[in-house]
Amino acid sequence: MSSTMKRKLMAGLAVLILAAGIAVAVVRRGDAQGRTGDANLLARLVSAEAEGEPYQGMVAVAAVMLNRVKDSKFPNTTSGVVFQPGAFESVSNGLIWQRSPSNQAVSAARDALNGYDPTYGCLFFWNPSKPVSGWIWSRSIAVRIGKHVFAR
Amino acid sequence: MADEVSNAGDNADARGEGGGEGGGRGFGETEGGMAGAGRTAANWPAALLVILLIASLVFGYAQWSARRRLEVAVGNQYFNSFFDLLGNIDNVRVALSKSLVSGSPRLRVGALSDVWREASNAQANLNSLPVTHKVLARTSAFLTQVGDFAFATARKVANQQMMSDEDWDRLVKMKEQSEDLAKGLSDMETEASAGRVNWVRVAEQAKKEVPAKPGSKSTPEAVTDGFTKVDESVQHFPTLIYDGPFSDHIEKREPVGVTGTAIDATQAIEIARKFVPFDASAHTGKIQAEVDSKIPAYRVSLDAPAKSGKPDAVVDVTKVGGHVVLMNITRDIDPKKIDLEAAVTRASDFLSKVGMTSMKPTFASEVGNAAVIPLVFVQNGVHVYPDMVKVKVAMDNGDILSYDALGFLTSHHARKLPKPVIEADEAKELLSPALTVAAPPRLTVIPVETVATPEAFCWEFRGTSFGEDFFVYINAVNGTEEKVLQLIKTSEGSLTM
Repeated sequence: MSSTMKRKLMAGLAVLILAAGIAVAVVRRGDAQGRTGDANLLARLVSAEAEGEPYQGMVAVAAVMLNRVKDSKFPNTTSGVVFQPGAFESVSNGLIWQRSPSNQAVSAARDALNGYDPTYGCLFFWNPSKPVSGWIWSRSIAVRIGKHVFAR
Repeated sequence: MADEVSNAGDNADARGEGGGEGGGRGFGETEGGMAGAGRTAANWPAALLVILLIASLVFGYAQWSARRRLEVAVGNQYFNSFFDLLGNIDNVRVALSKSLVSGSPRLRVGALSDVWREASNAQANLNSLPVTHKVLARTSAFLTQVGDFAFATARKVANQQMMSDEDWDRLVKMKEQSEDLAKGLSDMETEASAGRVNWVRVAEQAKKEVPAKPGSKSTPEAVTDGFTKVDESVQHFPTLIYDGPFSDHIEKREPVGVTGTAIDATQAIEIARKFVPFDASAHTGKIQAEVDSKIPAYRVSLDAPAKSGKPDAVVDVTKVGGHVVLMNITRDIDPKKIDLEAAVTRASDFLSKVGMTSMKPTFASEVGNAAVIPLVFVQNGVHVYPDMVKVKVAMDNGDILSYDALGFLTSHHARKLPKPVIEADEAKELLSPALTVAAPPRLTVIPVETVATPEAFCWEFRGTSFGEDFFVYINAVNGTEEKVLQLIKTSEGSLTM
């Protein structure tokens, strides 16, 4: 293979890779724009924190976010609650940006925004089989859904 | 990019020696001459190691300095929040003092608005610091309530109402408390001003949740400890009862709609089985959990027998009276085939079937191939908004997907509705000239955030202004404009009734 042919091949390959990259970026942007503001952010958090949980458990996680917004002890905006330092492991480690929310997570976020709250006003949730700080057990537990317990 | 790569390849071809790849080929070619080959063989692994070492050092240094730059950038954001917080709290203190000193309503409203704005900013800045929620919860709550209370008081003053002695005392107490807050933060300010606070380490420490111990200064522990002290100084603040969404009286409201006698688990399962909008006689019913909230309930799961083609359902039944609070049926929804009107009819029919009479739909909106329809209780033609039930209908075949009666059970009771003192025509005179009324007014009961009554008896006007839809509520007893709501149009369809 002559060196000019090789050069052409390499250049062609580079253009192809670049084009694919742009295409992926465009598709992802379109995806994000389809859903708006709070619903999208909530869906991402639900996806990262409660994937694999029963549907009620997903709605419950979104409902906890919204209950925090309404509570004086927490930030008063959805993004304030989601990005409160150290509040959610999936936000601290960037997991919430690593995948698009599933349809179920989007639907769960919308249900919660419409007022459906299977936790009846809870402010905390955690997975009791994972290590959690001791003080969290001093909260009063309202209900258990799937792997998570929900508390006020 | 591509050019460079192919050039490098060409060079290696031409030389056949030197560099890692070229070296291997050179070795093969000079197989005959042992002496020359031996020297090359001994040297090239060493050269490779040196190159690798230098490369890794360069790489390591680049990574380390990139990380440092990021740490400084993140730390600067935290410094920004912290110093903003100090400024906000100082401004809250000053504005509270001014609100006490101002003799005229005009200046007092101005000062109280400042309190509201500064407290709200302080709360946002406080919550963006990398300290655990537990350490800041009370301070955060205090700041929210100061802002909320200042707003409620400003509204009162603007309404030409007098501030009560209680309001006065509260403002004085809040001023003292904000002085304590500022004092508590000043120690930390000294450390922060000297640049001795490493916020990244504070964040790491917060993650480990090590209990803060009083110790040497300028350690992460000292920062957390400082905030703990500040938070403790707030903890003795009395319960705040005033007209506002964050007032403690909102929390304390007990549900009034849960009436009847206690039921047991078996009865709860039977109630759930009868309630769901399909024949669930073959479903396996069991108590999935017990909900311990203001409305204690059994959470009943109804699991469909295999291959029945029916969905599963989860139904919450109150332990007292056996009322259904929530029902959720999970299934995928196919593309929509029915319209919003048809979905509303389905929702109304379902409510009559389960014995909820006098419920009227007021609104319907489309959310991802489903319709969400709030229905309100109507008493003698008056729409009672707090007594609300929400029904979700699948728009592929009109099945009921969920039912939410939390609002209804929280507020429904036998009400004595007064006669309107102000007639519809008189109420209409009180509307803004910018509103074009689009529908005949109707009498409603709406939820409000006042201490005395959680509800207000109002005329509801639906209208448009600058191309947007609004609902305006005028109190039918005293003519106060209680609320203005804007109807936000979503990309999907909606229907107002």
